[in-house]
Amino acid sequence: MLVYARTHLTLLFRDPNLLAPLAVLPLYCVVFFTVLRHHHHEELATQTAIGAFLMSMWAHAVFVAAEVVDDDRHEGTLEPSMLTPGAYTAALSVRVFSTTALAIPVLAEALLIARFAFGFPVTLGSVPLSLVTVVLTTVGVAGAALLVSCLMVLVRGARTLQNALTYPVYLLGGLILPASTLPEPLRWIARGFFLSWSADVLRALQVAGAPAPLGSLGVLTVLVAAQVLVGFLALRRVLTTVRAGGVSLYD
Amino acid sequence: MAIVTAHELTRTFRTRRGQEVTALDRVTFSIAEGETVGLLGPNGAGKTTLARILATLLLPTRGTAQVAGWDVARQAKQVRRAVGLVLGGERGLYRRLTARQNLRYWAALQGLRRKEADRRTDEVIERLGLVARVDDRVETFSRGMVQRVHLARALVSDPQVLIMDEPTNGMDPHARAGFLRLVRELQGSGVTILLTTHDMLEAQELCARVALVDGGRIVRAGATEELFADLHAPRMVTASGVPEDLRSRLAAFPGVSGIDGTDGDLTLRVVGEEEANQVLLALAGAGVRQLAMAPPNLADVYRTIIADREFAV
Repeated sequence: MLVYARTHLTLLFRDPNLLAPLAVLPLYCVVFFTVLRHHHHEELATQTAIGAFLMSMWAHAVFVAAEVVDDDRHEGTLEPSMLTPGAYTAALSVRVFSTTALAIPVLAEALLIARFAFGFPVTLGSVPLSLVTVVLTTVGVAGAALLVSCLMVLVRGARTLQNALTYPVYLLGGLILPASTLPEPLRWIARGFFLSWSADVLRALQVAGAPAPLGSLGVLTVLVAAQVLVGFLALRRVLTTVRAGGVSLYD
Repeated sequence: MAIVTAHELTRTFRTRRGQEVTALDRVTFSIAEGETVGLLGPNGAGKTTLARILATLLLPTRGTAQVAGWDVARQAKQVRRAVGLVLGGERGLYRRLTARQNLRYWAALQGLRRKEADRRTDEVIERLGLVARVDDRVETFSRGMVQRVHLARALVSDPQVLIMDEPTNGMDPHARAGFLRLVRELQGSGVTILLTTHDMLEAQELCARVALVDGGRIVRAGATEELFADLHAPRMVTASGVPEDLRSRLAAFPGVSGIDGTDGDLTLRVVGEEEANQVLLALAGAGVRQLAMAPPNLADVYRTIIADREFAV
């Protein structure tokens, strides 16, 4: 498994363009924190940093991690990869996860910008539970990236879809406004989406003196597991379709 | 003993307009262990489809095929352990990785444990003469070096059967010669090889048997010598200093076709032993002292069997 992650990270670092979504985060932060300062809401800095972090992770997953299979098709490596005795789906999953995990340091990046560029009083409450939530979120986002990667293989011109999967997801994931503030039909959808629980749990952990949201963490764990399972099975199904001749093996 | 068998293998595709296209039509053949068999045919003949089905990259629509005793449709995992696929062209490797990084990744995908993967990687690097460049990125390699890495990738799992799909496509003559030398070494070690190619010379040099594929069917198969004998493939006669009146008379000789050349130079094709003797006698009798006759080659056989469609689509 390690060799898949190492190989993929080498590929990523040798093409820095693929890390561009992560470099965009400081711009988000500058805009968000300037708005907070203008409205004298410095106390929301940590919550805002969490929102910016989750948005960056999602964008990185949709625009970079989800392209792993399509990149393989473009490089001509999909065809020989399909010839390996069953490990390719696992390799893809590890590669997508390791790419998504590159977004984790962005949380620290956002908090540091808040603290040192804007002088906001940011702290990460309950560090162990926050980290557990971040890891669970990373796994869930990687699962979603597996699902998007299926679209990349099946649909030509899927880039339009990639773009469509950002702002609506930020809203449904409760990244811009908490999911509880969404109107009824949208709130139901948001409650079935792991990202809204990630945002809620991370925000709840930052409230001083509040009890640990263990119930919400449990729901998050179940939804993340479901997301990964759906992503993995969908990818396996798509690779089977490729083998049946339903999809081109190369660009 | 046959290591690859195909029985009534058929593959159809449906176009976007709903039309059914038959890429492979009831193909039956076998390859003995350690044998090298060439699949020859024009673009779209079905040879790549056949190679891909045998490699488990495509499922057959009907019929069966087995590699090393495993069914390609129902026991794909076992087949994949037995098969190595070598593709032609620049693509098929991670160009931003070094040759060694590529090989280690593919070894892991083949399910080799780390120590074994390292050992096999080092072995194929040594065997294919990649030692000096193994830690350079593939994107800096020449076409011939890229093809060596392709071959190394296929060999890292020590397959029983190598399927090579137009492996020398786009290679310069030196790189091609070097690559074919490596293939001959592999033949010496007993690997079974299925080679799809457009290059008649390559097939003639490497293959014990060839199958000519056209319209999704094997239209002729056998040892190259057998094919020459069966087909009465034409011989090429070239001569210089040929009188003009003899040139006109030769056109009327039985079995003669394709007369060409100017200013006393002559090339023609003649089918049949006796007919060829008549042509040589006529030329010698007219005082022609510079003449040569080339035996038929696989290209002649190919052109005789498979219709020339030029740029037809």
